[in-house]
Amino acid sequence: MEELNLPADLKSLKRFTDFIEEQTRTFGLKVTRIMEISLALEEALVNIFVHAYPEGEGWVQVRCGPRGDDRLVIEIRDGGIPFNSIVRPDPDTTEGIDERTEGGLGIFLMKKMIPVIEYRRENDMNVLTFLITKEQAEDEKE
Amino acid sequence: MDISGEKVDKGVVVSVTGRMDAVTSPDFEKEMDRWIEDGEILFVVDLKSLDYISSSGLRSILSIAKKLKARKGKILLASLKNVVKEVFEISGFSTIIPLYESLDTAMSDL
Repeated sequence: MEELNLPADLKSLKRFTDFIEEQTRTFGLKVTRIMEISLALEEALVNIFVHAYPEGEGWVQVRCGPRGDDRLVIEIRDGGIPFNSIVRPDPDTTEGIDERTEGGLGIFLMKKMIPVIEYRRENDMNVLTFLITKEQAEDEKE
Repeated sequence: MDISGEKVDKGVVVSVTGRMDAVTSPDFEKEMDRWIEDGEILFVVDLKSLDYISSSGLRSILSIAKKLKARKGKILLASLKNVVKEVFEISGFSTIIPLYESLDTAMSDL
């Protein structure tokens, strides 16, 4: 597993994104899937940057590595307040422009991009795990 | 993310290239606010070179759309592709912000 540890701050976003895009490229995913995973990661990270450490500064760790031949695991750890993003309610996507607000959209997109996603609380850390499967029929022409 | 705007006779065409994420989306809002402060209310945003948008980008677009609606203005989005189009559809934003296949079809509706 490769890992990257950085402050829980928006300034860290690009480095985390570059890291995961390199890992997913090496794993052999299509460009569109790489973008989807990058998006899910951003949503998870921004949530941590904004909410995990109400007292001030904190850290985030992203780990990435293969599991078997056809799966990639991405783990996002933070030492912030207990927070299970997966159980957040979805926003109402049928609301009109006047009713739409911002709440819950990021986490909703994260869950849509990553069908197999788990949360656990472990040793005073939030651990969010994305399980990515390599599609069977890879289209090499992207 | 790069953003450039051009005033045409019907309104303003804004081109956004690269990625609209939590870091860059505020720059989109700032640019749009500059045009709005100048009195512009009709916008087509050309997204043919936008590779990526996150919830931050959607929030910025929603904020601008609400502002323009209050001023009886319009914001139309053109040429969404791949993940950007997917995000608009999944979030339901495709039903609240008008989307067009091309800049030309958007301009004809402005």
